[in-house]
Amino acid sequence: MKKSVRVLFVGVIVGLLVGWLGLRRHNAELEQKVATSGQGATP
Amino acid sequence: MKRVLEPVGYAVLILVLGFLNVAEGRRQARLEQQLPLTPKELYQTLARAQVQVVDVRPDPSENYEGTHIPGAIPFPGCDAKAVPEVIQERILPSVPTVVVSDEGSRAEHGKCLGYFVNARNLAGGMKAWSEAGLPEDSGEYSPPKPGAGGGCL
Repeated sequence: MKKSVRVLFVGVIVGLLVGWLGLRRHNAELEQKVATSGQGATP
Repeated sequence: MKRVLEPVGYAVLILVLGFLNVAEGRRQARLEQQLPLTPKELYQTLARAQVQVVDVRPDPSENYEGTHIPGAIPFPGCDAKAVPEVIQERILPSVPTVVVSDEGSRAEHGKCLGYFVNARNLAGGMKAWSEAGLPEDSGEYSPPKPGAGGGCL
């Protein structure tokens, strides 16, 4: 496999990984906000 | 063999991570829907995004016509049978919606979740909106005329 293609793949994977971890962190904060707002799960 | 496995491995990894991102994005949308909007946030949202505001307070002739958020559509109890056809046509279930009740009741908001794809609650309801000193309107609901352009607060 060409080095440039490998770099491209790794770049995409790192980007997706960073995005996923960021979303997870954001969602954890959101979950906390929902819990403190007293809304909780939908009735 | 290694030549073939390497790109396949990358592709699988990308697919898995893509799926995880989509799942997390959906979770985010679900959580955001559960978070109530404050009156100030709603005011800011109305200025820059397209959302519909439905006023679910009972007895529109008393509550809605007395005072309401400008542009809000009367939709008592989120019951489509309780409103005239002209109003039913204006209420779009797929548009992001903010539900306004008397005091931001979770139960009132809950009734609307089955009707709208994305419905958020106004924290504190109409009472909080009035207390925040934000613009209010009164009188009967009149649908915007075609070509009249967007309203403003």
